[in-house]
Amino acid sequence: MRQFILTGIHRSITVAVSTICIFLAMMPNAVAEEQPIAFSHEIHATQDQIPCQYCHIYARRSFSSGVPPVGICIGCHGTKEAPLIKLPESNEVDKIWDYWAKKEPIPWVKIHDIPDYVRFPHAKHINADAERFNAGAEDNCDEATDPRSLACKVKLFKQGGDTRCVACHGDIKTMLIVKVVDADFAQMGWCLKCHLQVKGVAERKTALNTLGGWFNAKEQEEKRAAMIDLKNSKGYHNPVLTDCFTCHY
Amino acid sequence: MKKGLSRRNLFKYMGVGSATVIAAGCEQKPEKLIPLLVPPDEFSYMPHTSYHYMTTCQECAAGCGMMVTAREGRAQKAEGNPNHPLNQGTLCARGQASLQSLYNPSRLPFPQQSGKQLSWADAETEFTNQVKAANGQIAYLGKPETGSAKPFIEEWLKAAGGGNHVQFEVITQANQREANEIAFGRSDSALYAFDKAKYLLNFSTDFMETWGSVIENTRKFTEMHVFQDGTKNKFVHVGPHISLTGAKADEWVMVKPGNEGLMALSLAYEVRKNKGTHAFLAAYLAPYAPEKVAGQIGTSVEKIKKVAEEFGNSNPSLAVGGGNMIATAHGTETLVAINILNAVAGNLGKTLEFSSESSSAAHSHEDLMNLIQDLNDGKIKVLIVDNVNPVYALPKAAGFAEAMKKAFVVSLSSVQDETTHFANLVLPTLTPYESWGDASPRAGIRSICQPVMAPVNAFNAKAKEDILLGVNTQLNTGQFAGIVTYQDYLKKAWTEIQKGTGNSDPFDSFWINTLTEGGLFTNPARSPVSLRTDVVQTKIQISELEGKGLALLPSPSIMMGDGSGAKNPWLQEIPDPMTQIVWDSWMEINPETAKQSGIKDRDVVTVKTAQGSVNLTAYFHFGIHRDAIAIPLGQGHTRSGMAADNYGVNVLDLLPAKLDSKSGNFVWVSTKAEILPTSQKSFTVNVDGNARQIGRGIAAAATIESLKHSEHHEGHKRPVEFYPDRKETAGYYEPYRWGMTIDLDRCNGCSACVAACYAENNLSVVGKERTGLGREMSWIRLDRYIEGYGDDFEVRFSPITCQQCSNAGCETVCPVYATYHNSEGLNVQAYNRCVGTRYCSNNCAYKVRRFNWFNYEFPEPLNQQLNSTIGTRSVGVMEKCTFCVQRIKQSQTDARALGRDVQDGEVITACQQTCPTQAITFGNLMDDQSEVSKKAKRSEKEVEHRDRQYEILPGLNYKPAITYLKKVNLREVKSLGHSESSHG
Repeated sequence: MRQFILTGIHRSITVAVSTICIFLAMMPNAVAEEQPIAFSHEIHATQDQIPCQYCHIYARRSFSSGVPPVGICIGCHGTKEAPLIKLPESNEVDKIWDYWAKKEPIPWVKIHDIPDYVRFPHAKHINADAERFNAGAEDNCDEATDPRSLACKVKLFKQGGDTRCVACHGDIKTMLIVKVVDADFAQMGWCLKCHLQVKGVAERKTALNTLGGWFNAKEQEEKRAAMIDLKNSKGYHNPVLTDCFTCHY
Repeated sequence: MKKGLSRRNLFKYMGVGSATVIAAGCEQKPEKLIPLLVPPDEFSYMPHTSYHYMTTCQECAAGCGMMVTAREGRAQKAEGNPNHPLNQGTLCARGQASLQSLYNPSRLPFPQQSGKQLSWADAETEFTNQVKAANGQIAYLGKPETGSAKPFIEEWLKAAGGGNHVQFEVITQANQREANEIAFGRSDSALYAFDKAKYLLNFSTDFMETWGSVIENTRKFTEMHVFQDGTKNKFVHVGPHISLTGAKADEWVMVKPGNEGLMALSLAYEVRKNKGTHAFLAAYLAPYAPEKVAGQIGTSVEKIKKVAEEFGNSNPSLAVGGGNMIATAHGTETLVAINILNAVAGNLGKTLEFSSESSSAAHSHEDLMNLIQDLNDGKIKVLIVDNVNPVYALPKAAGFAEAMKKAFVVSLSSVQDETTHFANLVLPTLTPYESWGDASPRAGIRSICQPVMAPVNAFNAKAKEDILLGVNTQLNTGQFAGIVTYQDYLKKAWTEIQKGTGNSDPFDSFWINTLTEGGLFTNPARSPVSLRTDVVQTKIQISELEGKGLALLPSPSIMMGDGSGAKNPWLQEIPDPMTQIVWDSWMEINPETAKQSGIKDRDVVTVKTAQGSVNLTAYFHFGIHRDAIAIPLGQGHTRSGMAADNYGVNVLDLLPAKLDSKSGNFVWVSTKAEILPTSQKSFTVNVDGNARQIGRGIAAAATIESLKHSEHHEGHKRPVEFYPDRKETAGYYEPYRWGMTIDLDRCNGCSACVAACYAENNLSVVGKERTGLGREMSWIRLDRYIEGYGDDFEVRFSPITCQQCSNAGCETVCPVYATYHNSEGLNVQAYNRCVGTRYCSNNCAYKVRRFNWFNYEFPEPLNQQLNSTIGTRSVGVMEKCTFCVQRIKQSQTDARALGRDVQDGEVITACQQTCPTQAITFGNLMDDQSEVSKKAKRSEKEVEHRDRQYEILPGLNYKPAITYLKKVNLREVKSLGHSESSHG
């Protein structure tokens, strides 16, 4: 008995600690840290109208979104020896030049962090077929009152291009300092909300390998098979979007 | 009425209280995003993307081609180069584990002199000064070089004022080359066409472990020995010891140690008598009539006659000899006898061939003994040791460690070992993964070695050739004009090679093509040979062994090789296929002999020879002669880093330093050893549990006869079930149900699949103690079962991995739904959902689930090898085989980009990819035309026509996705326990 209690206490401590750790990890910017360079997306993307993927070159190409290489900064700003673009009132460009001169990469602080046990294919999302959303998924979008509602995100996602970036990351273009906009960013519910808006995904979720399904299994399964969007017009079977192995492996 | 806290509340408060305290401790530092400065030309680099580079494996002398997968600029997985004629895309366990030679924590971090750190400039100056002072009295001791490195080293020595280039490898073929010279007048290694033989007679050779080009041998042997068209060719093993190679034999002829030559001549006598050819041999062979020598060999006249008849009547047949077990003081003569046997059976030019381009590699252990003599005589002032470890790999009796003290020793080595410890100047070199080179293991094969990544940043190392070039520059010799790095030298050498091939492309495009292909491969014509008539001057002698007791057979280890594998944790952790022992040495002894001397299985015994004594655990093995014991090579390191040191014993400590007088080959079988019992307790860890199947039918076998007449087939009757089949659930198995077949007739137990799995799936190494507690983490294991008893026993290998059951036992018991069957037929394990009840593992009939009892470490820089396409698991989580889900996903992504589903053969699992025998087939079971469906015969229609197919433990109705194909035996072996056809 004594042993049992000890184990019990141990367990509850472990559970409680991990719950709180998970909770802390989920809070956006649990510990804020300053970026090495005060880079402003607002200046670059809104004032100067540079498209997102001019710098974020790996976003649509790779499983991992990657970070823009320092060379891209230098392409516009030049080097200390051969300066190109630099506002006289700012010292931030000097910092890039220093890093470049030292041949050191810039240690940016990660803001949009997904847990290591999630395999998130960035390129697949940028190239995903937005036509697979259920009809009317974006209908209730009210941009004025709740721009981060599910319907609005679906709407943004469906527009494609750089607008699709906004669907998940928020309107970074207008940010002086990048922040996570959704409180539940990178939680499983946050991901699944969108995945469940895709045709056939919700129907696929309930398997009928149960006693209830056994009696009229054939009939029910035929009905369900029609609802599940198995194969698409492009000639291949659609990926399953709610399987654990979709993201966790 | 309770007072104070109730139990439930206590937990509540405890939980909250401690959580508040610890909450501060789990504060997360934000992760850093480190960009590239400039991506290497445009988009040739992409994060999280695989890039493949061709290079050459240099773990042993075979020179197999390797295709290395690099991601984020780090080599993460080694596979065989599919273009390479030797290994054709497959790789052995040691090749897989070569990644750990690259990221080994025991690699040398910086140049040092007498233990003190030096800068490279100082180190090279010191080296130069020593070379200058030596005035030509230099010896360069390195591995046998087959490519451009050999002329390079010789040119360098010439520039440095002269010196010896001594080539050293532990397991050589010097006796083979000498025997071929005596018999055929060809001083190079023969090409054995195992695949063309109808009957294979193997004299003690471990050709599927360490002897020759192991992967090529294994592949060709499998082609010959596999069951096809209702029959299979016979493989007979002659010798005193059965290792992994002998375990595949259909018959074992046990001969006394060192009597293989006599056996070969006795067989030759019979074959010649029946055929009437080679008249000049009649008188020579007459004394070896079976009646005269059977007693000496230790077998019966009938057996010799039977084998001779079968061997002579199979056209062509093949007799193979070589390796440690045959290397007695008269090992060369034994091999000559085997050559004679092949000649009289008419195998020359059919299964025993010689290339038209001779590639003689003249080196033997004699060179090394001469070097030791020179060192002792003070004729050598500077000894350069290049990536070999003679202090460990030579018997103590040879006296190398003492002799090397007489010279200034410069060690060019990538890892620390027993030799670098005693060196005066230690210069860390790059591994083959990081450097340029080439190899030509035989005529027609020129394999390139290119850096697949920038040098591992934890070690301040340089390519050995570049160190030598640096010294040369300081010596100011005028040699190597215009050559700054070894790459320049190599390109120059390949310019000549290009001219030789008649290729008229610009060199740059030729070079790029070579690097893409992995080398230049041609198939030179074969040239005919015939038996020399003066071969009759070779006298077969029986070499008497020194000392008293049992003959000591130092057996080569498939994992450790010559001992260089011991530093790689995977090779230590993967059980030896035959004994299933990990991280240790052992002594194989016949149970009958042991009984007579009162030794029990797993007793610790002292093995004593005139040279020394060691203590180790006795392991009962039917496959060893009653007058012999076998101890594997490769363990017992003292200064080779944390994975190698203090595990097992070094059998070389027991051997005298004797050489074969004809070939200069080291005499492996030269002494007897006494076995003395001790009172120590054994801490030898083996993972097999029970070597017997006790009727469970896990690794099943059939005889050819039974396959002809069998009417009842397993899986014939499907049980009536209450629930509908998963196929009937909408969305399930559409379009994929991933499945696998494993052909036990092909599998030879080499464990390459296990090593590949460790590399691909980030499996942890847990060490000897925890393996002893049953906590090993291998997702695929190689079960080894023994059937039969005494001399007529059979070994069966069976790779077991998660069976991805349709009605899995693990799934129904998981309280948190962390494991379930997904729509593609995979048994999903969601690690982040798992709470670690371990109930699933208890309910798994196949024992394939592994639990993380700790957060296992990947010591720096071994962590750099981790596959970045999947995660690692942490403490408290169950893990298991996923059928390489990351590879399935990759193939699906690639196929979708082409607008189609995955086609057959596109998903190749890591174990399947590396299998030298092609025993594993993977694919979609829902596609009737897929390779795996054809082999598995699972559909309603085909299940009636099953012959070798079976699922393990069918009685449980778990419906596994893996179908096994029975091993096919030529003989019936009585199994202990219940009958074979038991349904579990």
